[in-house]
Amino acid sequence: MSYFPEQRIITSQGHFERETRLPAEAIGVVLMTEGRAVDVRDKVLRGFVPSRHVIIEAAQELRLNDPAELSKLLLVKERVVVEKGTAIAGRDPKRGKRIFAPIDGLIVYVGGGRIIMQAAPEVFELEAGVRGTVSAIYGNEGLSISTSGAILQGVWGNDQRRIAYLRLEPADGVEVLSPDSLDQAYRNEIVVSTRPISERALYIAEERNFAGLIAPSMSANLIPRVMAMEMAVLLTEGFGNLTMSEQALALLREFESYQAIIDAYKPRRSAARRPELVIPRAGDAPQAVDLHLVLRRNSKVRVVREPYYGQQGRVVDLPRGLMTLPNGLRVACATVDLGLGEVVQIPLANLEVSGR
Amino acid sequence: MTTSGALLGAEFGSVWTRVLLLDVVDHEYRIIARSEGLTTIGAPINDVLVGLRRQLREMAQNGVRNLLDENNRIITPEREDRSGVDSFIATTSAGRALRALLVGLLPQTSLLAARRALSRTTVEIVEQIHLMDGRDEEQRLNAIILSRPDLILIVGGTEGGAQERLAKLVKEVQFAVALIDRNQRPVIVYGGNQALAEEVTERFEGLCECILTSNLMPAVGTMSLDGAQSAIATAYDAFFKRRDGRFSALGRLSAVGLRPSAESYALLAQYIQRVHGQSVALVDLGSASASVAYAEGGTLQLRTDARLGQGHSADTAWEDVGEAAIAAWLPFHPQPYEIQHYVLNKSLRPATIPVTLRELYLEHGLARANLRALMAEVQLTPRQGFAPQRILACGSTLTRTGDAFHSLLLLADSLQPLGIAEVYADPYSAAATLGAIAQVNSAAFVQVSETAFTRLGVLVSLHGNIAPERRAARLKIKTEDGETLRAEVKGGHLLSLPLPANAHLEIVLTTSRGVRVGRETRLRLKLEGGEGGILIDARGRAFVPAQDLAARAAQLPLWYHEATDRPAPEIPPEWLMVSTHQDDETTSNADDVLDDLRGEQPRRRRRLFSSAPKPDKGRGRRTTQEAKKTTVVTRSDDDDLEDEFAALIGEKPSAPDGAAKGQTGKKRATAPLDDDMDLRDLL
Repeated sequence: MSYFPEQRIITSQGHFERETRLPAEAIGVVLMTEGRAVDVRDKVLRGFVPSRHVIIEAAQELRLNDPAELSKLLLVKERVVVEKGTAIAGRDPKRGKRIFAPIDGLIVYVGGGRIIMQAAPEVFELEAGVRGTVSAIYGNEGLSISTSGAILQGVWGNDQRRIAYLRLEPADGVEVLSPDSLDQAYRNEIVVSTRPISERALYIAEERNFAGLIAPSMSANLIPRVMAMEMAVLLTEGFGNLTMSEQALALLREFESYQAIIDAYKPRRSAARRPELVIPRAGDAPQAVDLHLVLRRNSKVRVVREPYYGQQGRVVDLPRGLMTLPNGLRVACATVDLGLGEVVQIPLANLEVSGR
Repeated sequence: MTTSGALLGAEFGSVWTRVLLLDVVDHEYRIIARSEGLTTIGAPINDVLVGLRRQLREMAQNGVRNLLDENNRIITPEREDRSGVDSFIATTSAGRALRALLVGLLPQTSLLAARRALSRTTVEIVEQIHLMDGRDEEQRLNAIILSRPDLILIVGGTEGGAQERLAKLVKEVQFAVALIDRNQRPVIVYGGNQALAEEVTERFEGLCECILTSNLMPAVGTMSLDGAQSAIATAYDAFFKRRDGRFSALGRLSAVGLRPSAESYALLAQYIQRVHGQSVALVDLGSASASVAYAEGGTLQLRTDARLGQGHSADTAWEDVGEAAIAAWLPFHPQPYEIQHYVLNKSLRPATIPVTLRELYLEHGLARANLRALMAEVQLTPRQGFAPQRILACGSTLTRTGDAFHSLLLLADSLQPLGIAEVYADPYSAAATLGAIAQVNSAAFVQVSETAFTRLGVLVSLHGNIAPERRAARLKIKTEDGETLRAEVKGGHLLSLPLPANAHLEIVLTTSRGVRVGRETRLRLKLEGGEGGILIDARGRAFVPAQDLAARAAQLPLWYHEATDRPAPEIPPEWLMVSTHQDDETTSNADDVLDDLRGEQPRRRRRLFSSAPKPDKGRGRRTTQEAKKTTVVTRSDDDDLEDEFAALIGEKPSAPDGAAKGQTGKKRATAPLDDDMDLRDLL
């Protein structure tokens, strides 16, 4: 039986497709065309999230006998953005009975004696985040960019994206830094912490204005605070007190002081994206990341559940049939050498490969 | 549409893609091969067809048959060299749920019918608009626009009844839909008073897709859901084709389009109920959703909840069921945020499996809480007299424990049925596929439905005035060999009789005063076994584990031992310590509790079969070797009766390795707005 394990890409040089889409709730446009070269900061998508509508019973307020008369009394055109308090209908724009815009927004409809306004939606733009070529356009929803470089896919993020230089935390952790907002060290940098995020680390990161924070894990009680931050926060492992996998740490060490894009995408069900760190790299045509790796003997794997969480190993055997786990479950397992002579049975479902 | 050759069915779950190949063997359809692998939806591949092709190649490599041509397309129709199939059928419970908005007159009547009509599809009801919702027109307008529905189901009004108020709601919906970006507009399904059908068509013409169906409530107290359910399934297929490019190619390949798994469950439950004359509960606990289809006496209850699940939906399930519902099944004080961390991590890596005992308790605690919440939603609880005669369990959590006895225990804990239920498992998602196959080949559906599932066994549930630790029932058991033995089961305990499939026992069960099985106090039963034997549950209905942690830490391992005959898991003393951050429960001296536990276990372990627990080397008592040590036993014998019982039924012992079994299996009016209006232009 061929088993294709879960893949979470961690590679120092690879060629890959990077998909960027508007959030599901947003409406927007793609600003690029297929085949066009893009740079990290290029705007590739523009969109907005639909906002609240307000119904104004204009004919009634202007005491019109015939609602159709309303269109003649409009002081602004349809589909025009107006500020709150602007006179939008009336016989005279300066005096007499008039209708004033109750909100900042757009006049989306006039008819049946009514004016409907939509509150001004906040327009946002998404950057390419990588250097490459637009390889596909998905209608008005998104696009794919073909790029190369180092990539580290994590598991969770706070929906922020930053571009900055990568820097490892001090030996004793972020917590030992003073919360001095005038200290320039680590300012506007993506800081890598090997420890789970603590409240103090967040406080220091905010005070010192980190551009991003990469850590293995954090407690669930910090989610609201992290979601409200402008700094990008990316977790490589998950929630709780998990330590960073050796493979992730090695890659982050290798690329310290490189410019990187942290896309702390908050995972959504069946989404085509993952939170990730991309380090653009020039170089000879790198090998494409293999997304179809079959688990076999000698496959390099990463364990993603207790009790060997985060450890790397090599598959030494793929026994047929089911194995009994310490908790009594019987499932398909791989025999994995974790190094130093430790050879253990790990459920296939608890193994990930990194794409190489 | 009917076909007569080989059929290929694929169920695309959120985690697993499972493929079944059906063909005629000895004039009957049989499952001739199956394969499974991770679903390739979402990062990093995001193309469901990749996962499907992997499975089809696997089948070809295993010599089953070639199913893909040189261009990687499924070969249809079947060729003379027996490559390919006549039809390919796809079902799914993956992808995001359809966002549905309900519009009706009253919440307790028309909207109730609407909710039932939606139950066959994986939907998330994002808003409900009705006359009593207390909203003004502007609030309704915003509710419709901001909830971003994929589907708006409009119902209400009996035939010949009032039209005016419903017409007003329809107008409001039309107004709101016109304000939604053209590419985001929902599909309208209208199943209300048919006198308004023409007006509804005119209102939405040119605005968005509008599907008319028969009135869901043609008369007061009458529901007619079939038409609406079919229309909703069409809308579901249309939604995936239009909005979710990842499924559009799949929908085109499938002979019946892409069908929701729950639709198949409904059909299968109804079919089994009609053929066997049994009330049937089909429960599916998946990664992203949980479903139940209950067919009884010609009626069907169906519910799919996309917020309940063991993987992708673990976090939303935790929000909905509440932490206490999960903690009720844990033999330890959870550390602060421990349960939340577990569900969050599970939703991030939904395919993973617990390895440690503590994580297994968390996993199964979540499973029990999920199913209980689901059953409560449809009022299928012991309090409402839920007494299915047949249970079919789907989903890896329930069917892939690797131990049928354990699966039976999980189902008993979660569903808590009354009476006597035959229990089956569907570890290969055949149930999800078969219902869709019925649409192209009813013979295949009928023939395969009889053989596709694994028989777990029988669950006999006692309820009533059950006193703990006192006799709840006496049993006189007669084997096929004519041997007789007697046993009893005490209140608060379980008794497992390891009777394999195709073997039978005659049991005379006499309950103690105030205790019943269904409505009976004395039953003469002839029961067939299963991989999990016969489980007699004397914990009462409805039961909850002890609230006191020490008692619970004794109870849960003991129940596991009683149901599976595996050694009761030892609870580490530190598990009973209250976390310094928690003050919800006091803990008695943990060591005392554990000493007490250990002292009690051997005595409690088996009233009927009181042998000491065996080392964990699989299900030893069912091995043929032990079965040969036959001795006739009676109630007076206390020693090693388990082995002897196994011996009595030893002619057809279960395979010692459940693994092998698990592996091989047994086998539109004008729009009020300018049509060109597109907010995108403003960008």
